[in-house]
Amino acid sequence: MKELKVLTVCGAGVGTSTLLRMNINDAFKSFQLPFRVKVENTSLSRAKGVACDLMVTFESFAADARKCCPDVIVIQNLMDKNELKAKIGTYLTDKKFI
Amino acid sequence: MSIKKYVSDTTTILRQPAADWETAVRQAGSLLERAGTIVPAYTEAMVKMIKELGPYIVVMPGVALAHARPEKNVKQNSIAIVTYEDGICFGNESNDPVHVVFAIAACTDDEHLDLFQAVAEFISGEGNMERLQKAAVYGDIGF
Repeated sequence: MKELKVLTVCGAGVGTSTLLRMNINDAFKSFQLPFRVKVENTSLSRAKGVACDLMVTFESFAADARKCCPDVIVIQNLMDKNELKAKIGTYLTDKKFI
Repeated sequence: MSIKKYVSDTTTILRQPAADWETAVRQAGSLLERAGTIVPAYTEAMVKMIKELGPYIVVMPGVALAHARPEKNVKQNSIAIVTYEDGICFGNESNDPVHVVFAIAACTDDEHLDLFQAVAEFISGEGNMERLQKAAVYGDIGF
């Protein structure tokens, strides 16, 4: 794999998903990965038409996100870098990426 | 990129009594309406978004970031802040009760990011949220 495509998803696709994108990008940087990670943000309605490897979103959108992407991380505290890093770490370990 | 650019004494009210979530979001919206930075349709859109999409705007414990898409309802980039002594229930299991409601209004999608970043920066700043929640008058927040 050359690139891991990650989508951060919120309702409007402009505010919270953008913050989530920035914080998730930072969280990925703390892992040494043999591939690139591309993080983009969007709204739930637009996310349905986009192929991705991983979706990161909030509880409100978790059920819908799971319908369009096999791997979904649900974030409770957008500002908690430890939570983001721990959940990314679990995902990467489960996928045997690290 | 500081939040100071977008907030003022007139767009901030502190230590309000308890309210339901809709009243709280409308209260924050009305501050921006009175400041002339949004039209009432923007407040309606913020409420509608929560009704349709759920309480995900409570993005961290105790803090709600109310917002909507600009759609020409925003005249000037601006942020309102309302703090509540008693927590408000938005229906977000992990992050209720809410003590601080931010209403974020940007003229364009691109500018939305600047405002959200400014809010995130403020929230992450050492002691800022504690000071905000304890503040009784605008000057106490220490922007």
